[in-house]
Amino acid sequence: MSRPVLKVIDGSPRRTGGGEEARAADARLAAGVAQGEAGAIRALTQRCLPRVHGVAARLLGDREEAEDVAQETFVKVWRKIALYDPDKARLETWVTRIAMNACYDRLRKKRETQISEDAPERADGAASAESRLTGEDALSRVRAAVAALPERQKLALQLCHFQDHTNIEAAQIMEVSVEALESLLARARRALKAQLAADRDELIADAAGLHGSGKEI
Amino acid sequence: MSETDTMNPDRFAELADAYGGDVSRWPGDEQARARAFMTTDPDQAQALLDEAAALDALLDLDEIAPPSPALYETVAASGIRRAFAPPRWAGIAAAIALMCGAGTGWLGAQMKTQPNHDALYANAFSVLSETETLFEDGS
Repeated sequence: MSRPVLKVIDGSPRRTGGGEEARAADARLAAGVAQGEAGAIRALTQRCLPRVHGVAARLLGDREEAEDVAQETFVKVWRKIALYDPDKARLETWVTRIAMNACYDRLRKKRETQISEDAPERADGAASAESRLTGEDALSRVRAAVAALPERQKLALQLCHFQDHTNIEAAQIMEVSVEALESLLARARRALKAQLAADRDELIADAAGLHGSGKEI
Repeated sequence: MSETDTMNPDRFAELADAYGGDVSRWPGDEQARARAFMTTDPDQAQALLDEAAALDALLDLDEIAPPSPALYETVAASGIRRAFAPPRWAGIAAAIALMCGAGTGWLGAQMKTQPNHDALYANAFSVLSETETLFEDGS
């Protein structure tokens, strides 16, 4: 899959959500980071690292690699913080977009080095039956199903379902229209539903057991 | 709320399909109309929400574990280190200054005229009168 094409949503990117107070807070934090204030650097790390790490782990499917990308992302953030414009986006939106681009770069390089006989990326919603069966329990089966989704669907799900970004923020990060984001989400969820439908009741019972046992995931 | 403020079932299903079974996580500008639909057709709305919520519950299993405290430290430390490090251009500026200094010194050395040994010699003995000699014994 190619990197998503930039779609200009309405001519000029505009900040969404949060209002004037949040804009001012973002501007202050960014200024603090630009001036090298340790407190501001720590605050920005605390606020954005979980999102950056989550996106990287979801897209790359590897925790160690996700940590590498997180570090690489923040090196770019420290270097480019003076370019951040609080009128255009929330700080976490801006940082998450840098992380997303770093992930796409890695995935592209991986694809370029893959040998030719490697299987092409699965078509939308056509995750194979074997991935459904590889997991031995609910967790691994769900994990395999999500991992088998196309990259952009995974990212849309990560931003909206797991990270609670608004649809507008997620669309801004992914550089797509809100309608396109909604379509990616719907396709992802339909594919998962189809893939997990056969075992849904059993999976839900397992899930309840996992939640009840307080097992760490 | 008028009829026109109620969402149609297809749109309600689309939103549940995309954003899941919790209406409070749907786009803010559509939530009021969605809630109106839940009042006008509670059975259909609930069925759609329940189906979406079942998938939400499965998805929640695949939550990614938060980053380690060590990663927080490494990332923050990289920012703080950078803040106290001289900027990248400082090294380049120092190198340019060094090269300029060395170049100027070398040019200066090249331009300086060689000492005129005859003049120096003459000047060294100019204080002596014609009858004086360097040696006291007059030799």
